[in-house]
Amino acid sequence: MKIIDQVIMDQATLDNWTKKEGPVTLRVSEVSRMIARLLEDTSLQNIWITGEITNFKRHSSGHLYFSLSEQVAGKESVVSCAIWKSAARYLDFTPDDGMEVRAYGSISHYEPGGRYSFQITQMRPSGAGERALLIEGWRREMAAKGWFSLDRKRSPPKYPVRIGVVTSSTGAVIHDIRNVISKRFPAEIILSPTMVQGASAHEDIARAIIRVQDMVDVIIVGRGGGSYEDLFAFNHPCVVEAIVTCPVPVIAAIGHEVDITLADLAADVSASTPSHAAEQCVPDRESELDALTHLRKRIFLQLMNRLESAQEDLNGIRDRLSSPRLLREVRIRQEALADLTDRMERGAHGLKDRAQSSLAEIRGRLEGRNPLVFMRRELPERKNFLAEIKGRLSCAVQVRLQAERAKLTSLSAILKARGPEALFQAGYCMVSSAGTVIRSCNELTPGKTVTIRLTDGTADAAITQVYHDKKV
Amino acid sequence: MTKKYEELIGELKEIVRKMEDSNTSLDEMITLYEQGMVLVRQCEDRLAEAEVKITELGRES
Repeated sequence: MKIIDQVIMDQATLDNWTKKEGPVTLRVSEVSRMIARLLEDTSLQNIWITGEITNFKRHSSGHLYFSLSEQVAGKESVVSCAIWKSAARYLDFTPDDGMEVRAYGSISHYEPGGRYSFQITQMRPSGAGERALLIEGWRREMAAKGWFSLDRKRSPPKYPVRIGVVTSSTGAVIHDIRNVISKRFPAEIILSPTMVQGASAHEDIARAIIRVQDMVDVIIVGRGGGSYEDLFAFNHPCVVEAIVTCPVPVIAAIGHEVDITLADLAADVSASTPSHAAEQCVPDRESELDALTHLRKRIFLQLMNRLESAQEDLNGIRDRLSSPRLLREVRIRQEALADLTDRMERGAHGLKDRAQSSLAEIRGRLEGRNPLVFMRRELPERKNFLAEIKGRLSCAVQVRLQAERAKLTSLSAILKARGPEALFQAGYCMVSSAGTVIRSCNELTPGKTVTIRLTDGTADAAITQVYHDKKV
Repeated sequence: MTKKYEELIGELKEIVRKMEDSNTSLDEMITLYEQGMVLVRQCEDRLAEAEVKITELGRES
């Protein structure tokens, strides 16, 4: 375009010149040098230009090429720019299309291309770009303080009683939140109204958070969709600090899903929209009712199971108490008892046998020392001795006896010869009374019974008369 | 002051826990079941409560 413009201009000049006399023909190099000289005017050197970046290109060599453009009353003006690699290194932000920037440099003519460009040595964002840089600075500071740390994220209460909503009292946000919450769960909403955009919105938002924070269980900080500039207040450190220091969990729902503010990053929960925030804030009535039905079933089944097992226990006990079973139990016990008795008896026998044998042993040992035994052992010996003595004694007696008997026989013969026998045979008799020999008539009285001894027998006689000899 | 829904749910869960404990006696179970059913009803009543209440704070405080 520029080259064509230049060509057209050159043609016009040429036309004018052809109409004039003594046209001057210039060489390209002369013109190029003239242009370069013109462009190197001090008013185009070391200047600041402000504009929007368009057609941004990063060359593989590291040089940056783009245009700075501006639209005034529908007319676009463009200046080609270049930042050499050596200068690009020192940029403290990443330039991109659409950024408003202020750039410092000089206009220079590139003779081989027949083009001029603004060669930039320094560049800073301005406007939205400047704000992006500011936000980036804040973000770094906050991150360093740990405000975005996942460790400090709190879970919102499952069943909040009061919900604080920090938003505009007139926008759609409070309306959406109210609709969603009233459909889902009976909670109370406390609206803490605030400006949501404008130069001092950030202070108002922070105050609104602090005003409501001690009255509620959770806070929703919300704003509908808007431009980057509209949402700017929600990046401000005083808003983010109010969120971070809030005693109750904060749910942020700022702008649309694609908009991420520092408030979103610092909040305990970041929701994509205010309605979404409300959904995250309270449980769903329907699912709660389902859960209650489930719990009701669960405790009912639990009770039924328990009753069933109690019934089973009872049946078991009844079964154990039944008579056949009891009889069986008794039999088992009787057998056990019998077995026990047997074992005891066997044990007792063994004990008795052992006792007897040990008794016998003791007895044996005692008897071994009993004097009687000694005596008994020696008794036969002594008996023999006695018998021998007795034999010897009786032999002596016999001898003596025979001698005496012989003497007696001889004496008896003598006696017989000289005794009463002969007298009796001769006729004499002997009178006795009661064993007493009667030797005198004086001993007799009439009536007295006497026994008369004759040689071959005796006779009893009664005395009838006694006659004494006169001489007497 | 009436109990919070959360407290009611908490009590209900504790009852379920006790009822699922095998050491709980039958008599205790029956009492727990009755208490549990009362809590379930209270929770349901609470969920059936009217529209959400909304209060707007004044700007000054």
